[in-house]
Amino acid sequence: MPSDYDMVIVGLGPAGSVMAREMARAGLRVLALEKGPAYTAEDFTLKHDEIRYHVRLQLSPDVVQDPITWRPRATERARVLPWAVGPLHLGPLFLPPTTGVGGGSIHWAAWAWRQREADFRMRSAIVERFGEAAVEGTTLVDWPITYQDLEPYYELAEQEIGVSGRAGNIDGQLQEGGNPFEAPRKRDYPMPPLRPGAADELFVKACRKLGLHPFPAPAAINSVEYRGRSACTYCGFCRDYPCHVGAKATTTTSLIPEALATGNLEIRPLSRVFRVDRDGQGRAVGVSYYDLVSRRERAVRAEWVVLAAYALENARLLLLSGVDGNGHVGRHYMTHNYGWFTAILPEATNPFMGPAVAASVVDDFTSELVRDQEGVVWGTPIIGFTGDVQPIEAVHGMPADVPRFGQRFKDWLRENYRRLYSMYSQTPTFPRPEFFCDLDPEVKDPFGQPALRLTHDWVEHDLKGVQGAARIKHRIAREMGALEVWEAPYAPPYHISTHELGTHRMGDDPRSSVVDRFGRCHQCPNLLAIGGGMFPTYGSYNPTLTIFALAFWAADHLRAELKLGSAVTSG
Amino acid sequence: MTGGGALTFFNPHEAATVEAMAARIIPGTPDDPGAREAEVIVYIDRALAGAYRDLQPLYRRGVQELDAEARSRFGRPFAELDEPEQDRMLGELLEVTAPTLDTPGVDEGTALLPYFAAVVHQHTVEGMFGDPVYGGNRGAVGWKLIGFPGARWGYSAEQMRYGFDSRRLEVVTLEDLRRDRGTGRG
Repeated sequence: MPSDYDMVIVGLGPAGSVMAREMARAGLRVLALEKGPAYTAEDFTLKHDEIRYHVRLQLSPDVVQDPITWRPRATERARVLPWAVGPLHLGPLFLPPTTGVGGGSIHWAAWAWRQREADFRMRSAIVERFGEAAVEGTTLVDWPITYQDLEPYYELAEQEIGVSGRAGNIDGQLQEGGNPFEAPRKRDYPMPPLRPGAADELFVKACRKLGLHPFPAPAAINSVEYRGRSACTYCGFCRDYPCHVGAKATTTTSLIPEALATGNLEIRPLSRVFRVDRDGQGRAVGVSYYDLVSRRERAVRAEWVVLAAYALENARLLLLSGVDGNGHVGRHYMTHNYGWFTAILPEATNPFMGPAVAASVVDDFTSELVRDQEGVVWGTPIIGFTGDVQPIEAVHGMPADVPRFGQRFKDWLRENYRRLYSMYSQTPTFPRPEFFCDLDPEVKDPFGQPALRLTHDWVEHDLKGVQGAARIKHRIAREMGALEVWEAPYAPPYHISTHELGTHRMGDDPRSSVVDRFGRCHQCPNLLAIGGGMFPTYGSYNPTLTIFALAFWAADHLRAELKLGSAVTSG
Repeated sequence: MTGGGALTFFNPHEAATVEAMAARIIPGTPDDPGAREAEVIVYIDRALAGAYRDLQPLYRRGVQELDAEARSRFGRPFAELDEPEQDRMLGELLEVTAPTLDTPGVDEGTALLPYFAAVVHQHTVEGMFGDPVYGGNRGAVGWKLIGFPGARWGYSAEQMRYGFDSRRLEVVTLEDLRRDRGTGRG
């Protein structure tokens, strides 16, 4: 039977958008199926609404339509994410990212990190310093590729989506004011850093006094007009919100229109894929999906199938399609343990102005640079968080010793809301055999497909990592003149964080990984599974720029194989 | 009681009870508005008739159980208690944090009251600090209380200085924004 398309892509978030544009530009006929709506810029002009986006989660998948279940250990029965159910849920940060064209690039806070060189050889880096015992009980590995392999694709991603920042290391030359610990880059960021939030100058001074090396966080938000897209207005409704002026790197304003302009991309929104269809030889021949308006089942045939539906949904689709010959799909689950730390400063910080990412960071203790933290073998950046704190979220983040009602509650908010300042850290979990995703034997989605079941709990290293970082935050806050500080619990109540990874690990050995270094399934070579699921291990940075870069890398390889030219070598 | 707001879900007694709870969570006076003056009850009523309709049973039973508890302890329904009595009941209920992340079936009477109180607390905060378009935060009094200038298009470098007094800024609501910006001109 002839194919309807050369390629069908499932999901139009960062990874899917890159693949769509690259292959459409190369001349393939591409169909993209997206579970959510086809958002355009006009959907977001009036987005300054905490009820809509933070409280009522209008961009997030909901647990009725897209149930995910969780249990702390394999001996227990799983239930639908308890922290996401009901009116007291923890907010959009603790669900999978946005559905809809643009995916996670709509709501993301836009920290745009390149991984460190050591993040690509995490197992070796830990063993060399702390010995084999430090990786016992984990399935840590080194990546099949190095930072140098990915460097041109990081650069491509930074240029294509637009990243603001200050280089710290260009070809080995340290740059004043940048991150002295960053991996060497060939080019500076395409834009200068964003204007920092009000309290950032205090953070910078405090860190310097403590001998640390603050630098502006790399942000996929325009600090100046870039490729026809406006500069940031600093509205402060950024993380968890869509951008109203197209300043944030959301693929609906860049990659998607560019892909559509080729005439080779067709997007079918509100189309929920439930299976990769395969022939008798096991090759992918297309996908089956539900049209969410008619609720009818449909099928489409294509030469290539690309799953780019997020680490969790990719795992579910692989399992539902029987592409799990070696049992590694859903294994090696990883996420971040955010260490939230909040302070009250003497004067107004106005934490509702500007994006959270418009702040400085110190990398002095990140990943392999960890030190002076007993029992911690992999460190985290300490990240200033100066904006995007809306009133309702601020109430949720109040210290435990303030009454939740009455005059003192009211007065606390009156006096302190405008003086809040936060820092946070990201301790990555290590992949472990006892933590994984599989199909829930009982809970099904409204279409009768099994829900994804997550088995995960926090282990000692996850908590010690936050605790160690907290000691540094305390020192910085004291130096900043903080009047009061408090921390979130080291063992958080959530087990997904929008930073899920590792569920279809890449590797050169088909026995111990799901996809190869270019995202192609070992078991089914015309099926790709791309995105965060490919990560073999997790550093302590936000993953999205690496997801973009890996997608450019995978697309480039496929173009080369199909003799369609390279985006990197041909410019 | 409920300002000028008509009701779309609550009966008058339910509205009076939930409003009494909200008014103790964020107390106020005409000069220093709280949840009552912000018409948080209108926010909750509209939400229950629409986006939160799955919570209608929780509110119905919650008010009944709260009244039963108030009667057994003080001999009157909750809305008729004096403020210290209301504070005592609410304080005890809000101290119970165990059920806050779990949805009890609304048939399970045991944990219902603390859960109900936690939900009313959350909804009071939403009605106080959410945009006025949703029925609460009347006159943006919630935002003015804490110095949040609302749905502003953006902020200047001058406004983003450490120590800047945000109360100098005009408060902007989504309605203002649509009038000024929602014309497609951007």
